[in-house]
Amino acid sequence: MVDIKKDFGDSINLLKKNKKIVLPILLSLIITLFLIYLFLSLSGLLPLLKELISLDKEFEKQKMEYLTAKENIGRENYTMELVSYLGKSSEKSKYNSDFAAYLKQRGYDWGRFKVLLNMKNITLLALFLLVSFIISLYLSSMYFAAIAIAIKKEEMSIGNMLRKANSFVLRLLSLKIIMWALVIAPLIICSLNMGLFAALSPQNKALLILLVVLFILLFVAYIIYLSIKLFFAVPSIYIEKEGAFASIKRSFSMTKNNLKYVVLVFLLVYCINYFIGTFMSQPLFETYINFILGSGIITKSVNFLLVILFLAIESVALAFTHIFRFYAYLDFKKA
Amino acid sequence: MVDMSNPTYRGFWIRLLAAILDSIIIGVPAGLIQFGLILGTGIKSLGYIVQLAAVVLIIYLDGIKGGTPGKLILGMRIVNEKGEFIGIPMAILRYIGKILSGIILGIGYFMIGFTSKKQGLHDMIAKTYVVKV
Repeated sequence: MVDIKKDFGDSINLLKKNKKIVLPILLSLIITLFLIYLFLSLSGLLPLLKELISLDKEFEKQKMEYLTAKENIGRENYTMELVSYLGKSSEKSKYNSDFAAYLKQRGYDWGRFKVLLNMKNITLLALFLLVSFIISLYLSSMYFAAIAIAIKKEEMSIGNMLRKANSFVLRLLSLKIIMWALVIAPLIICSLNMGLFAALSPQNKALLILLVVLFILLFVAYIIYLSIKLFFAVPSIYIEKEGAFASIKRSFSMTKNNLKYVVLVFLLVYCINYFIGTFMSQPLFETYINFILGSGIITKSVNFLLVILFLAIESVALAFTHIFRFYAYLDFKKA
Repeated sequence: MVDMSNPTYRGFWIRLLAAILDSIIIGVPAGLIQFGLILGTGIKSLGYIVQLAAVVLIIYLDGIKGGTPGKLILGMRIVNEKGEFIGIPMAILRYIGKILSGIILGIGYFMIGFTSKKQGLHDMIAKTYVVKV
């Protein structure tokens, strides 16, 4: 029987003994953040966004001054202003429409963003996405290799990690290409079919909407099914040293039996990723954006320290998640 | 350590009451600190630190003290099959399990009322029990 509690404990112990596993993940996150800054700078977006943030802070300060002034409490529109401010994160909040009006009053020209939507910036974006993908792929291979090295109790050195990463990176790329093909192919086929239906029977709008809803539901179910069946493909590459197709075949075979436990482990990993997303990734991204777009030495310094903190925590959490998946693989292999 | 020879497992309603107490004892101060920090400094990211600190506190209390304040006040402890406090690693697993219990429409929590040892899905995953002391 699969022992999730033991796998969880073993994963924590492995991470404690092999802290170097965190390094490629940390590097991957740092490079991603740097590339975001570089793109914003080179594309010309950075000054526009800085100006927008500065105006946002001014507007918020005005609102706060109004709401905290004693003479305003009890005024006719005070409650409405307070509710609008407290609910400003909601899209329907009056705060956002008031802010849009404030920007117009201050002469903020949104047209400057349209000017930046040129071939140079589109090419730049494509280039950055490609570079980001290549770096992310290589570093992913490196941290999966590090986990496999740690589990097999081999020499945990940077040199060994690089050697293993190099020997498996093409297999990882092949696996990713196959996975995308498995996702995109049905999407394209169904979209074409629905497009054809819409063109041939334009009057059947109700049926088309029903088909679209049905398609979305089926597609989501298909993605979940595929994610579960391919759950052990990556560990299989690095532990068994198999190719992409062999690892897919093994993952399908392993997830055939013990489906209850596979789904449970899959959901646990999903929940860990949800936790990381909510408490680490999102705060990291927002803090980083506040750091690069904000002003004021103290605010920037505090945001910088928070970025370091969230980077460290997220790296450790992601490393743990991947290790847990590898240990779950080993446990299912025995079962 | 709790004697597990004949334990009294705590059921759904009293654990719900403990959760309500926790939302007041931990949730309200955390919310006020968060609001105060953001209002005072203007640095919104500090709010995330407060949220993370609250989660760390919950995990610490569950793992080392046997439960959050609501459970402790109502005379309950979270223990493993040996009657010992579960420690930080299992408290983390249990916390992740609670996210799962909630995500599946709360079914993981409702299971507390229907299982023989009053375990939710998160208790089953982490092999923990909530018992009366």
